[in-house]
Amino acid sequence: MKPVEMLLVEDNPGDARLAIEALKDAKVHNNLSWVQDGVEAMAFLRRQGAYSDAPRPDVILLDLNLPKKDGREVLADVKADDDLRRIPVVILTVSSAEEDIVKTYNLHANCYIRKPIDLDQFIEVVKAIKDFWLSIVILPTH
Amino acid sequence: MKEKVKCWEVFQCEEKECPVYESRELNCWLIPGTHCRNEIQGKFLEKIEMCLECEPLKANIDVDSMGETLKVVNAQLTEFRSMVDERDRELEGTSMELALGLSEVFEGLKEISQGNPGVAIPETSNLELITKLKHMVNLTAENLTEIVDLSHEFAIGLAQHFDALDRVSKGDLAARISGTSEVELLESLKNVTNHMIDSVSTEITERQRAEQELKETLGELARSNAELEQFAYVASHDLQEPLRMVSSFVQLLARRYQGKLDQDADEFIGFAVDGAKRMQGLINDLLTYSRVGTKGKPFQTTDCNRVLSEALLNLSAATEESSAVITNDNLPTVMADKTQMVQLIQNLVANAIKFRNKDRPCIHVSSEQKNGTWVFSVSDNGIGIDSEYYDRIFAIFQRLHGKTEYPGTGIGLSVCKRIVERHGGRIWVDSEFSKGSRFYFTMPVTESSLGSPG
Repeated sequence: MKPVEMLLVEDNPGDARLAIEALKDAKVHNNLSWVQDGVEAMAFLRRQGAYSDAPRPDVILLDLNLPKKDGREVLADVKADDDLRRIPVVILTVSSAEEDIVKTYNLHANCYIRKPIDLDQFIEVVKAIKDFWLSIVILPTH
Repeated sequence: MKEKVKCWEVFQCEEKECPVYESRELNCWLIPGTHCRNEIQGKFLEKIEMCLECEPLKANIDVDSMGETLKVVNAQLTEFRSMVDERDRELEGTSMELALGLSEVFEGLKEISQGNPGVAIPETSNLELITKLKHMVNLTAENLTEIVDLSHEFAIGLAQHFDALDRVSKGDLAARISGTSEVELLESLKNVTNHMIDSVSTEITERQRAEQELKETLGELARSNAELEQFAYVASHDLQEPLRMVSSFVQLLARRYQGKLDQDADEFIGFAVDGAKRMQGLINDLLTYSRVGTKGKPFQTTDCNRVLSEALLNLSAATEESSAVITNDNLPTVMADKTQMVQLIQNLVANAIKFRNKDRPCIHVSSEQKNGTWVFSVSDNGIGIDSEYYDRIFAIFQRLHGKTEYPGTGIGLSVCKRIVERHGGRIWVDSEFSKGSRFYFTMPVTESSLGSPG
């Protein structure tokens, strides 16, 4: 079975590593790609430059506070792009500010998750994301 | 020859019993208007031409004495005339004096009436009355001049007063009444007023200075407060991320390598994980505490029954686990920050559940209106609090128990206190050790406050 492709957009290497470790426990075979800022994220999605061979992600895990290009901009760009807008975007961020939640849902984020501070909870959340989006949900074939 | 008339026929004496007439004496004659020689008055009723040729008449007229008499009369007449003339002249003179004098007096009085009291009529006259009159007018003019001058002095003095007091009232504290006056009353008034302005301006200057100081101090305090709140918030917020890293990876380490390293390593990891978790708890609490101020929302009408429902919903796990029975009276609607109200009630009920006795917790939430304020109470049948700790429990991070006895960092009640104080109320506790506690807090009643009185 073809592995599920995931793109993690996260500037904090520690957080990225935690996500990766948590996903290692996954039942479904998945490939996780990781980029560190918004510009890289768009290049990856559009298969530009160094990313010309990049796989098309089935799910995007997107942090909001990114250098160079902010996560909110990335979200807006993805959902405005005819080709990319069908890819579910899961916002995974430390912020719990009401404005952020509203704004990202307005920009058609598929869901908004606050990164738990506790490791166990974080692992549970990542597992839940994986279970939900990769096992339960039917993703569109591109 | 004229017909002669008998002399005695000429006379017609009024006196009917004129003896001359009676006697028909021929040597009595009467000239109209004169006395009868014999001193009998009479007068002619009609003038009859007398014939002087009448011998008897001629014979009877004493021409000389008549001439003498006439002369005397003439002289008297002349004298009389000259007397009259002199009198006339005198009268004319007096009249003229009078007229002149009166016209001078008139002019003088006219001047005075037109407002020029500086009148001095030359007090010469031949008429004493006029002299006296002029003197009186001059005196009056003098008095008037004095009065006008005095009134002028007062007007100037009062104008200076008005000017100075007006300037003082408009904020010019240096204004004083200057100038001197010969009027004693004005001088004393001036001194008193200047003295008063001195004291008043000193007080005002002092008060302004004190107010300014106070304002500056308040401004500094407000700035300092805001800075501190910002600092606390940012510090706790920014501490989250590195803490997360430490905490998460130590825990990951524990998971991944537990049992794979030696026992010491396990212990060390255990302490590190525990420390990290507690640090996380403390920072979370600090954030919550500082957010009461920085993230407080404006007040809106809030139905406290719904607040209670939401709080109980959040506590459903703890409620179920402890089999707690939570009852309540109908609660009022108040002007408040709903999120913070939920936090407040949730903390109080959570404490009531946490600090329970062996029996199942029975918790009651009620409110009543007293002296224009809502007094809420959350009462329980838990372990109670010793009265000497009534104040300490509301201080930040103060705990009355060891961390192994009851969980928590001791932030709950200080957050409650902050929330209550933000809403303009106070919070306190009444308790009986090992029997139960009753926490009270007040909320102001506003026009839109509804709810049951009891």
